[in-house]
Amino acid sequence: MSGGHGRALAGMLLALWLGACTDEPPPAGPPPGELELSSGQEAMRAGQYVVAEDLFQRAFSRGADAATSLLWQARARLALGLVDAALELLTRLSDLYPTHAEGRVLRVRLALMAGDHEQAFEQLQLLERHTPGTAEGALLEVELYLALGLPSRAERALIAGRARFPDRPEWAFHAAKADLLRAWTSAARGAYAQAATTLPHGLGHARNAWFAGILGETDRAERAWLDAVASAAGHGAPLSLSSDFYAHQGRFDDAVADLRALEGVLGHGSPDLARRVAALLVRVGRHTDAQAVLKPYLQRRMNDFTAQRELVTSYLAEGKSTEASATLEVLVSKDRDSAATHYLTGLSRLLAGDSTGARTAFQESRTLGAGHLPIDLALAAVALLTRDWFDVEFQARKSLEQTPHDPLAVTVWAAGRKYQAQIPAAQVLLDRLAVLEPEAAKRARALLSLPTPSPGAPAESRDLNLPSELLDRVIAPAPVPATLAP
Amino acid sequence: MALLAIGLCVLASRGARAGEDGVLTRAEEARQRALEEERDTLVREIVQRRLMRLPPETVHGAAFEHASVRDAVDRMLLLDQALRVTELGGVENLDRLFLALAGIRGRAPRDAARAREVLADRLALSREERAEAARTELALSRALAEREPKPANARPLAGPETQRLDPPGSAPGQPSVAALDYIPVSPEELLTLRARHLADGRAKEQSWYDRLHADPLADQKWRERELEHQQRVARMATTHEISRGPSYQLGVWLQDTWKNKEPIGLALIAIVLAGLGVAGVVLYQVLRSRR
Repeated sequence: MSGGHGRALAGMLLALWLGACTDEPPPAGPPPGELELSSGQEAMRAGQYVVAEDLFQRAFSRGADAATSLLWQARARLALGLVDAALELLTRLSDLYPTHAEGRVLRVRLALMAGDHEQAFEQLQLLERHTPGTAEGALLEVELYLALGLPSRAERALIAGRARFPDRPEWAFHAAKADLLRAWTSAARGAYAQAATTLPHGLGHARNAWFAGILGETDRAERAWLDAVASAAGHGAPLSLSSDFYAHQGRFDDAVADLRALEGVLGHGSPDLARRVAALLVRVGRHTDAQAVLKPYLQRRMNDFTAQRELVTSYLAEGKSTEASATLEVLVSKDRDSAATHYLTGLSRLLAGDSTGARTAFQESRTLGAGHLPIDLALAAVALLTRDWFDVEFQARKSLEQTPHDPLAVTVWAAGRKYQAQIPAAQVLLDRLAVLEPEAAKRARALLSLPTPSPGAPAESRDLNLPSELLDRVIAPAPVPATLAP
Repeated sequence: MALLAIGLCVLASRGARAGEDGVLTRAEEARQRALEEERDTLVREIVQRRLMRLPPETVHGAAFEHASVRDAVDRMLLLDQALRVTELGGVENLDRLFLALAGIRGRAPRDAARAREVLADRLALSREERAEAARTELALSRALAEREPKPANARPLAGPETQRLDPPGSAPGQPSVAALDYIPVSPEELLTLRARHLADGRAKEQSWYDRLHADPLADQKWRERELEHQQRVARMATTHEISRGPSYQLGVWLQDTWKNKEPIGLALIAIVLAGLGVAGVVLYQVLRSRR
């Protein structure tokens, strides 16, 4: 190779090196991670929370705005019901950006919702220190005092907050809560009804209906839910809550109507709708349809324990004990802290005739706080299987204390007496039941093969070792003999 | 012959008794079987009519579960918070959020009274405020317990036992949300029916609110008068407490000091006790030396 060629080659290499070192203009396009962030927000709006959570995580790792990514990821986790995981992210967000007000506010709200008042107070103080004088801070202060049960303090904070931010509609609702803390129930009820129209999309009516539900005024709650649904105008929350109200009342057709309207608002992409629909289908006895909805849903969301419980309920109602046991086995291992899961286990064992296992599962369920489950009656059924007649009566009486006037519990109590060869006592119990519900009493007599009593004077309950005061309270007053009736 | 006759008689009587025994055993068996069947039917009835018929797990169930009347304000705040939290996240997550929170609350139930105790110093709660909080809970529980009087034989509006829906035996359709199509009327028609059914009730309710808020100033005056009355009662209670004398106050102070483990107070008590002990010993020695 000649010297000229060598120089040319060196010159080319030098040119290449220089070219490589020259700064090229950056490619035109969105900043890194921005695409993931916007896609994640789209997915949130479409109800695809798992996808959204993944996209926000990617956005964070690709260098998008860290505060925004973390906040949205926390929201996605909340949407999936992962409260602890969301709180973890919000803690990280507050550590990284102590002055990020939105994340801090969310953290305070979650602490208040979870009943962690100390944490809420701590975070509220930090919020006030870093971003003082916000409307959210003023609202949260009032809410904290209300949650702590301090009406005077709440009212003072409310007056100060209202003076600074007079256009927030929440003040009226919080003033009503302070009234309620002073035991002015009527005033609070009126104030809630009045304030209901101040919020858009029926959200005020929804709050009013919720309050009526708490007061046990079902009719008023129903009217308020109707108002909420009528003024929802494309907002799903009133429809969703109204559907839950009807489902809780056992009025499944009304619940279905609201869910259908909700489906129109949210579209088919909404993940939880399938589970709620399936729950209603199980209740109306359409088990094939319910299972057809639940199985593909559970393939996508394996950790939805509520949906798995619905599937087990459907199997048990259909008598598919093998499938129910298989699903329950997995469910108990994953969701061991749930009272409802243990209750279903007990039910499955009871149907299989395993009285010891059923009793253990029901008692475990009670330990975990099964306030709404008929555990006493379930234990009475177990005692019937084991022929423990004293326990039958004990559990039936406990059940009646919990839910007075329950014909089934009275029937079980009467059965316990009958199997102890105390037929007159059983007759007295069914006589009491006949005062309240004649049809149920007739059915109970047929079930226990007890004859209809003669119209003479009924036996005295104290002669039969029956607590008459308890009978008056939980079943019905003693029937007036036909000879004494006017 | 006589012996044979006697033997035959004995055998015959034994046979008859055995036959009777056999008849009795069979009757007993039949009775037992009937009882067993009856018992199994009863258990089946309990399972089918009650234990299997649970309401679906809903927001209402989750929020009102474990709820006592004292928790009313807390439950109202819960909905407010949930609506605010889910404002930006869509609607469905309200459901998930509530169910998750029910689990969290089930694990560690909230206790406002305990939180008040813990935060008392940091909130600088006065004694009156603490007393008011305690009174509030009591009054609230009474007020809510006396809500809408119900007849003795009141039953739920439409519990699982009395569900009205009896779906027509339609064939299983497309396995999707469209499975809800079995309802004979459309949702809009149902809403109209519901509205018509409830119109009367709402009219009555509206007139009640109209009467209640006919004069907003009257409402405000009533509120002020009521508050003043409550404050007067509280003041009287405090005065009464103070007027109980120094020994009562000393007792209260000792109790508070011991309960809150206040170091200065405990040190004072220790010094006083030690002083009394020393004085006792000295007195004993003096008396002993004089003897």
